[in-house]
Amino acid sequence: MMKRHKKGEQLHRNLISAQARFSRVHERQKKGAQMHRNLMGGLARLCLRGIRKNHKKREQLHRNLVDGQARFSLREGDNIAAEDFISELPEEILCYIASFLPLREAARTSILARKWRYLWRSLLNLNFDVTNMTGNEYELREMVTCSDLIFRYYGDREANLLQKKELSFVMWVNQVLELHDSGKIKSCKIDFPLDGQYSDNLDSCIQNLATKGVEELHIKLSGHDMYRRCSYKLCKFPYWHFARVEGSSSLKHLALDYCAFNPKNNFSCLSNLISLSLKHIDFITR
Amino acid sequence: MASKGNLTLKSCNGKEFIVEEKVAVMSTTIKNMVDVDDSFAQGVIPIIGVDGKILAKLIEYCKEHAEADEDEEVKSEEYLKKFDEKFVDELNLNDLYDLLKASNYLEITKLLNLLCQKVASMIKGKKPEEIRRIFNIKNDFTPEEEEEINRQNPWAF
Repeated sequence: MMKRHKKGEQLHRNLISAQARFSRVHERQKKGAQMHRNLMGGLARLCLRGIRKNHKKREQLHRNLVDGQARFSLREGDNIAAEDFISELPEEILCYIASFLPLREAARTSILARKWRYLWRSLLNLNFDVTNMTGNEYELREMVTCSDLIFRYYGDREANLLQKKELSFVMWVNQVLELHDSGKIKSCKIDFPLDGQYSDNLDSCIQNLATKGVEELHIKLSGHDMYRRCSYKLCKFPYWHFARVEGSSSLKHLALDYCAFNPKNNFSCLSNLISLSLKHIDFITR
Repeated sequence: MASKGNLTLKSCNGKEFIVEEKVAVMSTTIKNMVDVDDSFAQGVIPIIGVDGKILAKLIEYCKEHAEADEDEEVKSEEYLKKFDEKFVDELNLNDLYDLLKASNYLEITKLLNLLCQKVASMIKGKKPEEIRRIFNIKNDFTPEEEEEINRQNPWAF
């Protein structure tokens, strides 16, 4: 027992010093690989011994190891920075980099360092969907089930839950748009099941996007079969905001799915439109 | 002196490269220079702030892409994709930064795209701690500020 304990301690010490060595730059690839093998061996040995007393220590060791491995795998190809040159890149480049990330991950870069804090707020392309809001798609599936239950049993509990989710989505979109602090948004995608009661929210959102000269809009307000709800009304797409913008409208591409849409006959306020895609549209006549 | 159809590019540390015009004008900045001022087409074009090593890399990239634009059969899309992948994979971080700055300044849009995508792929799916470690970003926030950021965008974390 004692012997094992000592061995564990020794291993731990090895590990710490290995980490220290890792955090120095370059070379040592081979040594690193050997060390990595040693560590793996160590872990295997430890795992084989299912001794309770060693449990805590083993956990700690495992954490260290995982950490060490993470660093090791980063070290591969010796692609690690000695200095923080990335933050010295021009802001426009950093912002461009962030634009290749999903909205959620782009927003998360704000925690990296001061230079990064507000970068994501000038993203040119915004993508509002469940995955970006919650980080998983499970939520949407849950909503589908909810809506299905409402349809079949008219369950109040499900209706409340569904409304809560819809509200939190709408609030999220508003919040992000409010935080956005550059004068331009190039493209925006909204993909979430929302019905007519959220027309006002969509309205203020589109107004905001129109003033920022949005060129590409994809709006899909259904992900499930809520169309079957008897009192169902579709969200109105407020195209008129593009008429209020000075000069000609910025909008070049528009795709609507599950919206109510009734443009003036000649599309005069969407004069720069190149492509238009309409699916499941209620062409309101009023 | 470059022959007709060729341009001479000079790096900031004095290295000269003779390249075909179609390769050089992949850079919008160089294209504008040549279009506006004939003397550039005959003489030497100084590439400010870009050293020989990076300029050689830029030319390597532009050459492949200019040739592919000209003859799709010899250099197919597939070939270019593989070339791009290899090109960014072989870069270390410092070269990556230098190339980012250079392609931004020289307006080589395709390359800038490629490099930004590469950096984004290194950030994607990682925790802030890991990202800081890869790029050696120093966290200069106070704990209070960090908390504030977390509070502002709870959805992102």
